[in-house]
Amino acid sequence: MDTKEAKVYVAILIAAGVLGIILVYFIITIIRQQKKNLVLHKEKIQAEINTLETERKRIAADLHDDLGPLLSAVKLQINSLNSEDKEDAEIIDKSNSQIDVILHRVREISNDLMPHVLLRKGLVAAIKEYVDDLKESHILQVNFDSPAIVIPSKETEVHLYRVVKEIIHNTIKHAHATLLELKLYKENNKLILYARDDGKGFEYDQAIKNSRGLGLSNLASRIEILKGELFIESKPGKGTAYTIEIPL
Amino acid sequence: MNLFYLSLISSFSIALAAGIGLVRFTTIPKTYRPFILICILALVNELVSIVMIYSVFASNALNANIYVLAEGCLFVWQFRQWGSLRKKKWHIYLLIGSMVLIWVYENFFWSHITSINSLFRVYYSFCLIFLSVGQVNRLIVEAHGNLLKNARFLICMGVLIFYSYKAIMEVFYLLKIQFSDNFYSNIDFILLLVNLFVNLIYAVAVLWIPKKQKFMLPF
Ligand SMILES: Nc1ncnc2c1ncn2[C@@H]1O[C@H](COP(=O)(O)OP(=O)(O)O)[C@@H](O)[C@H]1O
Ligand SMILES: [Mg+2]
Repeated sequence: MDTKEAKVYVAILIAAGVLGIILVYFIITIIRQQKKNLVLHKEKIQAEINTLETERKRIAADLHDDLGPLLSAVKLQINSLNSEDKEDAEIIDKSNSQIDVILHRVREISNDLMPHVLLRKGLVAAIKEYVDDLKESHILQVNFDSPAIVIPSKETEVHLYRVVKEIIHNTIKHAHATLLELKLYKENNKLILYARDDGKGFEYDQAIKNSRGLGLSNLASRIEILKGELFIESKPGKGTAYTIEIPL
Repeated sequence: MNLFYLSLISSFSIALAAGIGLVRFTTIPKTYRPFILICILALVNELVSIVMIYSVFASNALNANIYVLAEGCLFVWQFRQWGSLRKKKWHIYLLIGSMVLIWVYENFFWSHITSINSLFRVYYSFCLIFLSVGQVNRLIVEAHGNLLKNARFLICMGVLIFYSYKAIMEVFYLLKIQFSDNFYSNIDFILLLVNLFVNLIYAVAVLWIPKKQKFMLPF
């Protein structure tokens, strides 16, 4: 190279260096921005879901603890009436059975909002109960298999319970499956929830684009709160498999 | 170091990514396959180049010209797999169409297919840079984990770095400025280093490609 070329070459080297600095700066800012985004996003969904759960718990408790005793009291009072009149006796009978229905519904709704088994006996028992209810109604055959596991926090249990419920709901609503295989187990310090149905499956991108529902995004949020990972394997005609891994 | 050896090491460093990609090909999500194909194709192109240089052609221009077109199209396919170019159908047709048009014009009318042609190289470098910046923007919002362990992010960074330099360096060839061979080999030296660096990034990226499709929702 002659001196002129050498000068041009130095200029190029400087330009390449400047470009390099710009690129490095660009990459660093992107990584930092993404980290910030992640934190903000996590805080947001954590707050959203916390609000949701505390509200549910409150409503469930109000229904169960306030309405329940009140209704029972009313029932007692009605029963203490004794009427000679045959028509009145019939009305008392009718009211009695109606109050029973209301009591039953209140318990059902409250249980739906916040299952007592979940709070008292833990996740595995709660899922078992839910699955057994389904079995009786013959909507879907669910094979649930789990060793007795201790799950560190009630919060985790509630999240996982909702996740299982959403998976089962989706299977009933979309999959047209006959069988859902459900497993919950520990492996290498991870809690693994695995669900596989033999239904019609779906196209991943298509479903995300077309879905108006909040089911999957809610599910993803809960798993994110638990710092877990969600994998969905599905193909049209080949069923759907959900794998969820939660670090313990 | 001897420039010849550096160029060999730099060229064949893609073998790392291609090898890992080949081993993992069936176990990774389909959405990453175009990139693996690019790595394998790049390796094949390097091998063919050596044969061509020692053959009667004495130049790898012919296969390199064909290779860049294939690489450009595969990258466009890859970015589409990642969700770019999906808003309007004609975007992808326009992109592929313009790429092919420029390639055909340059190689058959403006210049000759047996000489290294730079117009297409500059053009597709710009296209890939824009596509990868678009992807990176999506990743800021969509990615849920550590970006440095995100294969998509690493590949985009590789594309961004390599094609930024390539676009700039190709301009010297494009303008056919009368510099000495020595000057041009010095320019190549820069690109060789960048190429080596980016190929290593690619290898790491291929290693990080998740086994299963991770569920990600835009938020
Ligand atoms: N097990 C499944 N089988 C078939 N399709 C499913 C399954 N789970 C989810 N999907 C698809 O994913 C979409 C999104 O589900 P979701 O977010 O729960 O919304 P929603 O249930 O309210 O429609 C559904 O509309 C459905 O097309
Ligand atoms: Mg749903």
